[in-house]
Amino acid sequence: MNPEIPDLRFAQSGMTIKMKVNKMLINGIELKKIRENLWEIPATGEMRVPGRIYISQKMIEKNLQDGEALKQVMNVAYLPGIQKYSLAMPDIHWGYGFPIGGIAATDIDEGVISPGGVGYDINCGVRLAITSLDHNLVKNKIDKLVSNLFKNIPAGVGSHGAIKKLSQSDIKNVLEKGSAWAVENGLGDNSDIEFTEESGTLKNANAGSVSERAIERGINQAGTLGSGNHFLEVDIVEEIFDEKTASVFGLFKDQIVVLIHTGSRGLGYQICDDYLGRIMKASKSYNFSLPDKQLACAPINSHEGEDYFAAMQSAANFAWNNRQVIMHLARKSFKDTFNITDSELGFKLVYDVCHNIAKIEEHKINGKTKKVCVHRKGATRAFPPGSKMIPAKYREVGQPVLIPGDMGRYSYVGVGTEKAMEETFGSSCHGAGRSMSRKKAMKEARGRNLINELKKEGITIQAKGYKTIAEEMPMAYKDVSEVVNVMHDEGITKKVAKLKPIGVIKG
Amino acid sequence: MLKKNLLMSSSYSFVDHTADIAVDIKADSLEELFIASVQAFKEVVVEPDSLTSKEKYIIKLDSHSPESLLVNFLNELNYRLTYKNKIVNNIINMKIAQTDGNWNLVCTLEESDIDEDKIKTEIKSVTYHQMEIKEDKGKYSTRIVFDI
Repeated sequence: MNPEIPDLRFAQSGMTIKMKVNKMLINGIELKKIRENLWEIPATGEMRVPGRIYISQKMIEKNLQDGEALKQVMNVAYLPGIQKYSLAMPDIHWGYGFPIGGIAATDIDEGVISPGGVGYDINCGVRLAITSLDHNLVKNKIDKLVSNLFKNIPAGVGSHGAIKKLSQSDIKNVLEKGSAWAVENGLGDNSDIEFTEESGTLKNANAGSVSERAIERGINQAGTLGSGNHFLEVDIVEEIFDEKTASVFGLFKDQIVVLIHTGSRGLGYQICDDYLGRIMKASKSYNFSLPDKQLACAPINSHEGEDYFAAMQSAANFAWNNRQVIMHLARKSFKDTFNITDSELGFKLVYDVCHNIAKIEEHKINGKTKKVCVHRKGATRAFPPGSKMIPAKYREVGQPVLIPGDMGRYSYVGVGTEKAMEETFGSSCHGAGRSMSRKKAMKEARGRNLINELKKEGITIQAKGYKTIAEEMPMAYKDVSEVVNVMHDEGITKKVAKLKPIGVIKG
Repeated sequence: MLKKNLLMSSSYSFVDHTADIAVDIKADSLEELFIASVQAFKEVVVEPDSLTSKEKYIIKLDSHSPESLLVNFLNELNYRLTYKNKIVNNIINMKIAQTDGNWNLVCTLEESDIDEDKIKTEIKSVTYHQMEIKEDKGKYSTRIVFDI
């Protein structure tokens, strides 16, 4: 074994390796240090580009020892037309096809689009809303607020019935208009549209590309959280790192804010499944060499590629509408709880970002501006100051980047930078990332009362079942601060504010 | 833990996966591999004692590969669970055949009504990640990763 490359295959959990190294070998995968928090997997075999991971040595040692996620970074590098690098953010973990936290940009003429690079929960994302309330006003009524939120916002497996069942014409409009449908139907304000990525509507959506089964699965799910890691959180702004940017985003210390995390529900899952099957069937004719079936892909300009892209955009619009309806229900829950008017509540959307998506964007490749298809699978767009793609109000400072942590510790608001445009196709991390399997989390939770433990930390939680609380326990996630600090120190996203949960609803 | 089916020579064991659920399946025939996959699916989504009434249902599918047939079959069961609130209870008959490069499945099963609250895990979809149905000296195996 090369003495310069520590072999960490046998590293025990909890083992501390203090020595800083320039190379590592993990399950046969070589990692070369480029900068303090940037590591490269050289292109080998049929990899078309190298892999690059923004992560600290400590996090590699702690979280990536099985090599599965690293292998997935390498696998993504096989995609035809991939540009520069197969990238991963510090919240990287083992997914299917792409790693969670993976980013790949493909040439729009010669490259491919891969449903596996978006995932089943198309446009899973996060929105942050502010209120005019501060912690002192809310703390004595937090139990009632959480109870009202839980009553008004359906959560859990197959949750439905937040609003009246949509008609066929309604669902077509949701798929093609996104958030605008909710606003047109009295479930939001025009300013909500302005502060949603892409204004809450991807324009090339086509309801005709969505299967009857996908519509069947989604038609009654608008305004529902679902299960798993989806949540609605009431947070307080605990710390401000950048006063100027926080002020532009409307954030102040001790303010009550709301984070909503969910996606396109059964409709999105079905669309991904439908098109994976179709693309896989057609893939024999493309003759691509791919190391994982889940990376099945089609040329962007093929029939399969174009149809998937239209259907994926429809699911993205469905997801934006979903979060818009949930936000409206949350606003109503606050008003009911505190018996106050809209103007007293001051409930406003700061921003809504998606973190499972493929989008055509312009980026500089080898000094030239080029249109590419950016796949973000568990990664957030993070555009810089001056970008025309972000609301005018934020152009002086950059795009808000919303990074939820776990339900017991904290979440972050960051801001996009020019360096993200230069290095990561304008992308950043999307959350803490799991460090523990659900099975392990259940084992850890055995014999404990997590609801009481959270209550002692000042957090009220209501969920459909205790199993979700156990699987989603704070320790099942990495410390999101470690993830965010890597992005901050590398200049990809700058920290603006830290949020602390005081109320949580989950499926 | 390895789960053995006493009536057939098949088994499945869950593999630790950070974000999703992975299971390794082994069986003496392709049909038994599919049936063991159904048992693993059921263990993920419901408690064994939550099933009551039974009615017969037939699933017919065809696909270009055995892996895609397995994904489609399990996704069909998942659709029936999450949208129709029906959970497969028992496989009565399973036939898989390959004709002209196409893989066909006919499965007669019994299913039960299930209350949404009794579904313990929502599977978004059955994935193709690391799925490869291998046959070695009459023994079949595969891994299945459920996206949850």
